[in-house]
Amino acid sequence: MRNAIKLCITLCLVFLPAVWATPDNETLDYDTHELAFIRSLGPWPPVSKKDESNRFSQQEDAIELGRQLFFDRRLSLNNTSSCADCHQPDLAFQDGVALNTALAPLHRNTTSLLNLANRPWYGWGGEHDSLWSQSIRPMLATAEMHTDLSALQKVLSQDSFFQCAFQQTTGLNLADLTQQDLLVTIGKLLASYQETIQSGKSRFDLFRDQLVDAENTSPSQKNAILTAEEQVGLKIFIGEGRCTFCHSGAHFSNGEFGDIGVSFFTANGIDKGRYDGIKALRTDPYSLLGRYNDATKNSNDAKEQGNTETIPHNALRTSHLQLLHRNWGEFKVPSLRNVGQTAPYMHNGSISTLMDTVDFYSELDEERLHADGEKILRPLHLTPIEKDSLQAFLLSLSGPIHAAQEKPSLFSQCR
Amino acid sequence: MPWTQLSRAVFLRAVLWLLSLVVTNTVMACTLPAGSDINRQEGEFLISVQFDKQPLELGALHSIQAIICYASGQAYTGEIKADAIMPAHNHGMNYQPSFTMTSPGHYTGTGFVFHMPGLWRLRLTLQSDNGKQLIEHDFVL
Ligand code: HEC
Ligand code: HEC
Repeated sequence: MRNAIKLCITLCLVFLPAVWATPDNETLDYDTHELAFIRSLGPWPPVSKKDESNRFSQQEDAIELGRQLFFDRRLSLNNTSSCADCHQPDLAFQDGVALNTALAPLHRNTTSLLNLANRPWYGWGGEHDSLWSQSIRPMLATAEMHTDLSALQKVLSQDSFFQCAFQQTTGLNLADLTQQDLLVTIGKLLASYQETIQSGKSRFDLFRDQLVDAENTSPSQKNAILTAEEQVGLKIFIGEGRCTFCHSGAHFSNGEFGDIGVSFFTANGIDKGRYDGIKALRTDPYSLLGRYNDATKNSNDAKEQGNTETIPHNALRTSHLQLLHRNWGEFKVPSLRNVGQTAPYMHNGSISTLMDTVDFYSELDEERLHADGEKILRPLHLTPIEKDSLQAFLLSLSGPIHAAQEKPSLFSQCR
Repeated sequence: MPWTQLSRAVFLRAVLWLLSLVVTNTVMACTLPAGSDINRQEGEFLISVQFDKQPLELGALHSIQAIICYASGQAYTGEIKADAIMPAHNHGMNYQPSFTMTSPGHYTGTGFVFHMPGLWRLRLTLQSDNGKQLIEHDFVL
């Protein structure tokens, strides 16, 4: 015992100085303006909130059944692909290729599915206003899953386990559903699972927490979590880079759309982005303005918001959209959380590495941007050291990814 | 003081008191609460505007409560048109707000989403017999 203590003391004496000797990362000086911007990029994770348009949201068995469906190839024509074949869990729920070629070549890059709960718009052009309606899209897309709905209904109803689990979760009998109800219900189950796909605190979040905590105490006493290089990148991000004009808030996205000069030409046409996105939304039977929105109409909340008509309060954003000329060629401002793991980049996958995106912003083609444009973007002409710093900062935005795991016990009565 | 004089004084006071009651009551028909986000007179209008919450949240859907009176004390019951722009960047919101009147002079407007940090200008347009009145309010997000 005594020897053990001695050994421990010796070890401590030998190794502690080594620990002490590692140089502290110093916290750079931030003015109040910068501190406000840093604070605005959190807190993370966001408070979890039920999606009122989806009655299955946050329901345990719906999450498990949705998880099973997400990995189920039967959802596609001839069992060609499941959601997970394009949104691969070990690739941050995307596919790692510029443009996927499922049943036919696609013209948009597969987005990663992190942190999608309660976002205002889905899809690069914001074609959908709920996670469940976005989840229906690939089944209807002929180039993606091209689902044969009557065949699917037959196959799933004949699968006695699935049929039983479906009944237990939704209270509905699979075989009795109309095709639209089947589609919507599957979409809502898939959404319940996808809401659990989240990224945890990144090193940036820990740094931010530390700064916010330290605002009353003396910040420089602590060992900063971000390196000096990463902090220089952060300063560019919230400063001269003006990145937070669009990549703002805890999601590093304002949830809206912008044109940064990425080409809108596709292999065989033009992708009008948000312009067609709004048009699609307006005719979408599955939008929040349609009859499948589970939110109660005219709740007190709705009345408070001045909504005396029959528009559910969670559809007010959709009902107030205006189609503008400038929406032409705008694409969704993507979240930058875990961006180090989601290459290739942009709506058409045209930029292959993170460093290339930094180069893109550094050498921006001003001519290509809207003439009366946002005047927010301009070429940054960063030095090589600044580019490295900005990239280092972007890499610090990755947190551990987690999603609901298999829970077979939930449907034990169905086996 | 002789009786007649006294009663005349009392009578006059009573008349004054009654008159003042009538006057305050007409004003009461449309008055502005104190301490709202915007509280001012613009042309023939008295305007009070209150956002649903402060500080405003970037990219979130906001609504506002507006009370609009004529300086004469009558309630405004006409239409309100609204938008918001970022003067520095020469663009506005991606949404078209709408207003509904909840009682004479009282309005609720929704559909406000301020999607970028910086200076925003809220613009309300009222319509009276004397023409259009523009009300502008600058704020920083
Ligand atoms: C063939 C590949 C492929 C398959 C299969 C596929 N997706 Fe996708 N997914 C994409 C592409 C490409 C996009 C971008 C689409 C767009 O913007 O129009 C996307 C976008 C999404 C989005 C929007 C994310 C965001 O940030 O807005 C969600 C949600 C989604 N998919 C869910 C699913 C679900 C659920 C399934 C299974 C039913 C599925 N996907 C199957 C390729 C695929
Ligand atoms: C005017 C708004 C705006 C500003 C300012 C802006 N971005 Fe972007 N960003 C976008 C949009 C929109 C896209 C997607 C464009 C597309 O796909 O066509 C994007 C895409 C990206 C991507 C690719 C992400 C992905 O998953 O594909 C990265 C990385 C990025 N931006 C980083 C930055 C950095 C760093 C800055 C500051 C130097 C910045 N952005 C400034 C709007 C903006």
